[in-house]
Formats: sequence, C-alpha cells, structure tokens
Amino acid sequence: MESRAAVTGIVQITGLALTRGTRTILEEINLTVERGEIVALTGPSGSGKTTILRVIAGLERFQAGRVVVDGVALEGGPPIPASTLRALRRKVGMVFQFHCLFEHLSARANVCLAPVHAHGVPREAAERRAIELLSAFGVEHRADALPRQLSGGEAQRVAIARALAVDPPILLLDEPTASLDPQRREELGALLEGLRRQGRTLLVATHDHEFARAFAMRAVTLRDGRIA
Amino acid sequence: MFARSFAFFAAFVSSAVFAAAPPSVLRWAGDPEGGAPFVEADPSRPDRLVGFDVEIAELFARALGRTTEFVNIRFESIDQSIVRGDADLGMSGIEDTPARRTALAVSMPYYEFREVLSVREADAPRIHSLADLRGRRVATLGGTIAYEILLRAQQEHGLEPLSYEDDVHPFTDLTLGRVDAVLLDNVLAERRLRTMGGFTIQPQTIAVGHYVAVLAPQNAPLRDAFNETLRAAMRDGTLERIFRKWRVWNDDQPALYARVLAGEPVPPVIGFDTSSSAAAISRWEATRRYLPSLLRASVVTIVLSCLSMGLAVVVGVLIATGRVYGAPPAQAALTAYVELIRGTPILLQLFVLYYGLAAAIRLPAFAAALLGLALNYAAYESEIYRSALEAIPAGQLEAARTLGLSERQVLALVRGPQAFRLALAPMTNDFVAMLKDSSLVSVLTVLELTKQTQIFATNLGSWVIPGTLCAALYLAMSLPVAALARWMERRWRAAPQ
Repeated sequence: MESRAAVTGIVQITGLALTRGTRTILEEINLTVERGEIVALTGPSGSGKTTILRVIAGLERFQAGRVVVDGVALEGGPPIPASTLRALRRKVGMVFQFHCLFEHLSARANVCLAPVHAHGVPREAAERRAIELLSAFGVEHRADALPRQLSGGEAQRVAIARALAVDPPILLLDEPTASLDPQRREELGALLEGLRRQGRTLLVATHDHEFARAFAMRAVTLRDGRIA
Repeated sequence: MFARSFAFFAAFVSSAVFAAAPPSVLRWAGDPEGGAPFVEADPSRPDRLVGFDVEIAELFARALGRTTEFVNIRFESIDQSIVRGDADLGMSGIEDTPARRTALAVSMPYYEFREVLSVREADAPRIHSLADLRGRRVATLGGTIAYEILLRAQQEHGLEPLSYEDDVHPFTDLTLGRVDAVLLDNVLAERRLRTMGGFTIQPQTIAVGHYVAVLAPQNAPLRDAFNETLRAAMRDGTLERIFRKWRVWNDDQPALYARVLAGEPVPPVIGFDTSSSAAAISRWEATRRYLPSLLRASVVTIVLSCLSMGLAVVVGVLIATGRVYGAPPAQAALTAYVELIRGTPILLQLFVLYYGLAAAIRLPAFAAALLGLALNYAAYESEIYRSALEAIPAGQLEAARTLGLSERQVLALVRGPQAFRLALAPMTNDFVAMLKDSSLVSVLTVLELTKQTQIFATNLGSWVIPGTLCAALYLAMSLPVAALARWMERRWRAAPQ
C-alpha cells in the first residue's frame, strides 16, 4: 500500500489533515501519484476517498499539510487563493458520482461550456472538440439530448467528455461504476485505459474492489480517514 | 328525542316572535374617516361618535322609539351596503344625485351646500373659476358631484381631474403643491381651512348640492318616517340648533327649508346639468361613454404593472443574490428588508411613500405607485429567486467550479438560468396578482381600472355592467400572460441549448 512521498509524482500529498468541527475526516495522508498512472482509492463508505479527490480538485479547505498538483501547490490553513485555484482548474478534471451535468444544457453544450467561457476557445472549435470527445466515447448521437434524457451510462460518458474538454492532465473519478451494469463497467475500464495511454493520470475513488483490481495499476486503501 | 324536538320547537317559536316584534335598534351607516363634521370619533372620547349626522340619526331613532347602532362603512360603499341591508339608513354627507334617486330610496334634502374652489393663497388672484385651471391638476373626492363637474371641465377647459378616496389629502396635496386647486363642498373646505390652513376658499359658487340620507328601495315607509322627522326638526328649529352647534348654519338653509316645507321639488344639483350623467341616460349609452375611459384606465393598469414588475424583478434578483452570496451584514440587512415589507400592509407602504415622505421627497403619484408596488413585490420576488437559486444542486455548482468557471460565470451560466426557469411559474402568478394589486394605488390618486370602474358604478348606480366589463378587461390582460408563461415553460423544457 502507498504511503511514500516521492518528488517526481504529478500529485504529491504530504501530511494532509482535514477536520469538520470536532470530526476528523482525513489524518496524516501521504500519497504520491505518478504521471500516467491509474490509482484506485478504495475503502468503506465514509473512509475519506471522495474527500481526497475533492481536496485535489480544490473543492475542500484543509487544516494541515501540502498538496502539489502538477506544480500547483495547495497549502493547509487559509482559503486557497483564487489565482492558485485558476491554475489548478487547468490541471484537474473531475467526474462526479452522480455526473452533475447541467440540466438546462444539451450534452454538447455541457461539454462546450467551460472551453468557451472559462478558457476562451472559439465556439466553433469548442463544438468540434465536443463532437470528437462524444464520438470517442460513443455518445455523439446523443449530442442534442438533455441530461434527463440520457441513461446512466450515457450521462457518465458525457460527464467524462465534459471534464476532458479543457484537456487536463489529471482526471478524478468518484465512484464511476456505481450506476453501471457489468458490461458497461468493462467498457468504462477500457475507456480509462485508453485515457491512460494518452498520457493522462487517473485517480479513481471506488468501493468496487473487483473494478480496482481489474483496471487500476495500484490501489490505496483508506480506513477512518487514514491510509491503511 | 323529545328534548331535541322541544329545542327545535322553542327555536322556531322564538324566531317567529322576534320576526314579528318591531326592531328596537336603528342601524345607520357612515364613514368616520375624515368624516367631520358629519360623523367622526370624539377627539376627547374616541369610542364615541360625534357630528351633525350622528345627531340627526339620534333624533330619528328617538322619534321611532329606538336606539342607534352605528355601522362603520367606507364612504364609497355606503350605497351598496344599504341596498344589501347592512344598515337601515346611510348618512355621511351623502349628496343627492340622479343616480341615487334611481337606485335608492333617498330622503328629502336636509342641508344645502356649495361646491367651491380652494386654492393656495398665492394663486387666489389668478384662479376664480374652472376656466382658469386649464392644464392644472384639480383634486376632489371620487364618486361625488364635484368629480363629475371636473370630468366635464376636463373636456371644456382642459384641466386634469384627480380623484381621492378621502377629503383630507386633497387639501394636504394642495398645500404641498401636488395639485393646484380642490373642488369640494364648502362644509368640507371650511372645516379643513380651520384645522390646517395654508390655502384660501374662493367665494364663487361652482354648483349647489344637497345632503340626503339613503335607504334601500324597499324601505320607502322608513324613508317617509325620516322625512317627517326632518320636517318637524326644520319647523321647530332643532335642525338649525344642530347645524349651528357644528358651525355650518348659513343663510342658504332657511331658503331650502322653506322650499321643502312648501312641497316644492328640489333638484339634486343646481348650476350643473346632470341630464347627461350616467344615471340619466340608458345603461348601454352610459357603457358606450365610459368604455374609452375604462380602456384608458386598463392601459394605466398594464403599464404600471409591467414597469413595477420589471423593477421588482431587478431589485428582487439583487436582494436574492445578496442573500445567497453576500457577506453576513448584507445578508442580515436584506433579510430585515424582506421581513419588514412582508410584515406590513402594502397600503401602509404606499401611504408612507406618498404622504409620509412628502416633507423630504415629493414623488409624483405615478412614480410613488410604481416604486411602492415594485419595492413591495421585490421582497416577495426575492424569496422566490432565493429558493430557486438554492434549489440548484450543489454538485452542479461544484462541477462548474472544477471546470474553471468563475463564481460570476457559475451564477450567470449555470445557476441563474436554471433558477429562472424554476421561478417562472411563481413569477407569472405574481405578475397576475400585481395586475390586480395595482388597484391599491388608487389611494395615491392614480386612476387605474378598478378605480375607474368604481366611479362608473357609483355614477350609474349599479355594479352589474361596470363589474362585468372590469372583470373582462382584467382577464384580457392576465390570460395572455399566463399563456405566454406556459409556452415559455414548455419551450424550455423541450428545447436544449
């Protein structure tokens, strides 16, 4: 199991501690993820898997420790400066457990939103890229559908396309197999492997040990907010 | 079983006995709001009513061997309440008009008054008649002969009539400079001059009218008994004593009493031709004449509602955004505003805005109405928007943040558009409610649809045609709004962006 602190990792977590009120959520987390790895974070519900992903995505403040994401350093304590968050957003894409697609926008518009508005990509180029991504994941025929019209598997692939639209080197996935049948799970594994081959680093929080064993290059197990 | 039968029998017998017994109480209706010297709360004992109409009612009750019971009814509603049977007799400086003679059992006149112009002292040398008021604003009480005179003068002399719901604010607005003259009874004008001053009453008489009591049409025998009491009081000097006590006795009254006691007919109004008034012509002709003014009032209603709603939406969005995103002191201040507005009546807010703040800022009536409605509705709208904003799942907002959107972009591109769709149905509901609530601004002299309908109904002596037309016009305004909102909801539900 992983608990070393390497200087070469694309994600380096050192001495991370996070509490909410009097409750300890994460304690003394040390973790390094190498570029091009698929790492599974496993453990029972409430063990802190998702919270680690949220810390890496800049969605959680933490009290102590240091997290470096492809050269962008997050320090424990005060709120993360806006400039640091802006830099972080270019490095990390996140796929949420319940996909969290924007309900008022079509699949294509979901994928285009960030490139056009957050990164200044011309709309036509963003649309082309969106269709490429949706095609790559086999959902281009659903480009004009609203999220509520998509199946669970389709919505997940659109969410992955949305996260990849701004081309982040690191992709975080929270419980990606939760709503998938065995066949879809196999397809997802193949899709993640394809992304890894493109040079991306994937960090997957899952309680699905079978999926972790089959597709992750290594697994890190958490228990009660600590690395077991 | 026996006990129940007995109780039923006893109730039946007692109701039969009470129905047969002569009433022991004379219920009479009036409006004590600004009602001096007719009827008002005694300043030294506010639970007691005083005024010359109070004394005449007591005089009549004594003659009948009854006691009086006062029924407090708004001045504009006295006629309808009498027809409904809420009271036996209505008195509160009620004018004799052709409409009342048609729709009610009207008593003989017991007081003759003159319609006079009140102007600011500085204007006294320039303004003596209605012809001198071209292009000027002239105030009066709605639903009165004076208002009809002003409507006629609007066509003949180009003045602008303003209808008020009480007889105090025309004079305060005269002294504030919001209006240039007031046309009202000499009784009201003299009373107001004594209590507040700041203006002068011109000696010229514009028209002559009479106060009467009104009774339901089927109550003619009681009306005749009232007339007998009045005749006796005219003969023995009782009426003179009452009017002298209230400082309204003058030389016009003996002449009136002489005509009345001699059995001469007294026209309702002298010096103003009422043959073309709504009550004197056929209902369809009256409707044809009033329709353009109802349509104009509908335009006022729709324009006022649209502008107020537009402003309410903008202010409501700002309040909601401040409550969701603002710092704690801003959140507390905005919450206090919402609770203050929601916790107090809109009528009070309109009065404070128009009359209460007049010493600091003199808003024109339409602007005060627009602002009052908008600020009131903004509080309610903000609650709709706040709950709509908070209904958007936090996961979507976090997803937007991880994609690199700024907080402002998250609001504008993700949270706002979805919240707006959630808010659309309640917003439409509120807009339709505002179309109707806009009728409240008539208290600020804005002549909108309901007020115009009320004037039409008062002059016609019936609510059937004016009420039906008014309802049709409100529906014509509100149904398309509801249809548009349904279409927008369907379109947004179906069409992806």
